[in-house]
Amino acid sequence: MKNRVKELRIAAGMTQQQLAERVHVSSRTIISLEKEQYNPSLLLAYRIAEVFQTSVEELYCLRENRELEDRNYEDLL
Amino acid sequence: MKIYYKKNFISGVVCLLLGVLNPLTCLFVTGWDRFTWKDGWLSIALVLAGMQMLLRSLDPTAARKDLTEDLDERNRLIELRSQAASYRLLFRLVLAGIVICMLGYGISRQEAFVHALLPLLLLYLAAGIARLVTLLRYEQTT
Repeated sequence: MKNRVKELRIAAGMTQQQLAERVHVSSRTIISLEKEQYNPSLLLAYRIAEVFQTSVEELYCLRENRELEDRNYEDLL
Repeated sequence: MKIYYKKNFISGVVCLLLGVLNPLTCLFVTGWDRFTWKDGWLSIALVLAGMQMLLRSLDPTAARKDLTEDLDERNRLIELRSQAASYRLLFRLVLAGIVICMLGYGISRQEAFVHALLPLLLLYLAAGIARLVTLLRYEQTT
């Protein structure tokens, strides 16, 4: 799923390791999140959003992702 | 001395004990002539691994890192997915074995195919029952 984790992390001047330690996951999980290969649990998404003082909706580009999913759904019908 | 990560501490103690008990059983039970280089290397590896786990469980930074790795949600997902994939693969391999044995017997009428078929059928049945039980359990609890 499209997200702004990398963008917000760089803007905050944090390393992947620092972010991983703040949210209690491994740095590989952060790498995977930034590559959009892995979707986090709701709690992890909230934790990351809290670190960057933003909302989960903003962090995970809710509108764009919803539009994309709706389009994919329509294609299936 | 404080134990920061109990799971690693217990694993370390078990490894260390196995590493020490291996040469001791040769000394007191089976005799040194049964102790080979392979046993020696295994004992050394177990003792070293046990000591490393023990030391890491007593160090706050290393223990925290190990705990984070163990609880990491992505690691757990990977573990679950790899277990599920290996189950699916084994299930299909057993099914393929059953089909091959049936065809083999049908063509050649050799009893060897029947002898090979029986354990495969048992495995298939056990796997099917396990799948059904876990499916029902997770259907109720999830």
